[in-house]
Amino acid sequence: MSLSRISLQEVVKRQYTYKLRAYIQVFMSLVFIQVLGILFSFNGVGMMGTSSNTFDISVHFYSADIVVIFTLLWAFISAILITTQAYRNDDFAFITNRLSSNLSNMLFLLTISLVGGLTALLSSHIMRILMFVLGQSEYLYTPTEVSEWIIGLIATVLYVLLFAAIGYFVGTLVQLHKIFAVLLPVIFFGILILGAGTMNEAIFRNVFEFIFEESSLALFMVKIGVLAALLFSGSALLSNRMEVR
Amino acid sequence: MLSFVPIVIVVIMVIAITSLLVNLTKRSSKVLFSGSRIRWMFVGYLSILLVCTGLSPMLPKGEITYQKVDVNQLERDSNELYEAAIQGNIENVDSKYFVKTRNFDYTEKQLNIAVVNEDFLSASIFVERKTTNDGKIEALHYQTGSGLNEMSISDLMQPLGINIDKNTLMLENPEKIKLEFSQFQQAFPINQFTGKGDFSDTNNFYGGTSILYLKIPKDLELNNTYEIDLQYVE
Repeated sequence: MSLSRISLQEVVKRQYTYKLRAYIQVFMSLVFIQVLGILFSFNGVGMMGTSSNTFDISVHFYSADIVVIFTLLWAFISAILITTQAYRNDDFAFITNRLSSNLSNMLFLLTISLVGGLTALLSSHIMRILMFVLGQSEYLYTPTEVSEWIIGLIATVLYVLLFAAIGYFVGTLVQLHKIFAVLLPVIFFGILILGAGTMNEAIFRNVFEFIFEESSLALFMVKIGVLAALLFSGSALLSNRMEVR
Repeated sequence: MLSFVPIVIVVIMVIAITSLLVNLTKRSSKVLFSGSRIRWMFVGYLSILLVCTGLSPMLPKGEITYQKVDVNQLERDSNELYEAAIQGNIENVDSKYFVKTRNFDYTEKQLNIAVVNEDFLSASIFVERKTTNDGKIEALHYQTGSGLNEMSISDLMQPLGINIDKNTLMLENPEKIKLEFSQFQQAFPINQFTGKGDFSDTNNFYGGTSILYLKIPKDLELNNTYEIDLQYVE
């Protein structure tokens, strides 16, 4: 019998604030991976040209795509890492149950998604300035409208959240049984390599189109929201089957 | 087999980055940076990002090198010049389109037309027959401006080479001007919803119209190959 009763909300809040401080390494790796992404972006992401009778114009394109992709990878891996034993046991320093532990993890992942998405998007401005200073060919200015900004922020954060949710689910599966640590990468890369030219292509492309080619932001938000909710609740259900500690 | 190579490279890169991330994030006994150091590092990174975000709209927009121009206006100019040429009153158009004129004395019955450096001529050729056989050929060259986005690149344009050698009118395309630019694209999560991304979505290029207007004696016969299109003005 305990002397004090603490509400679930209070426990989650405490665990969440604790995690923000304890998992601070995650933010260091974010800085590291984004700086790496910025460096890699210097090569440009593409080139295109146009010509008329008298002109040949070629344009080298640069973008924050690589930084965004690296950030997705970062979210995925960070989410896996916080499901590992070393991190999971932290929660037992508090009065806890699986539910509060999962909820605080989700809040933490939501937070890092916001931070990751925002910084990935902002990194494009560092690149613009570096390109202007170091670039050798003339710089074509493209204005960013406020609406594009808002769209970009929402979409990038949701992408990062999706990858964090996938990572969390994968991490939970692996904690459930170690065989998934081998099985999941094999399945993934198997599909990636074999699926490039066989019947799996259709499935692969459907999945790709479902997320990456959705052109309506509202639908995209619903899709990602539902997917993330499914993945998180799936993880929560799975982790309930685990032994205590 | 070769198609596997890019996939393998991507896989290797992903593995390398993953292990880097794991090592950075993993809590080990020897911590690379302490908590407060990481906090400062992160705050520092964030401030650099914010400062750059504030600065980037202030970057010059190409007006230093190029004059400002409205591409839609260039298109209207082009139509205006073309119409004037078809109707035969090219001499009444704005003098800004005029590039140069060449006059030749020519009394032969026939004149061949040839392009020296390519099959096609970059200009459209209009021919006006004079009412008399005065033994003179007048070649007038007109050009409208070219623009990329709001930059006028007309100043870079060169005139046509026009010459008569024996009984052939030798036309020479000006050398193609190569321009190289770098441009920043929005990241894919933005382009996915705005539908932008390609050169044509974000850029507005207009290559100007070039017209060679020939005034020839009444009965001179012109011989041209099929690649060179002549339009006779009534």
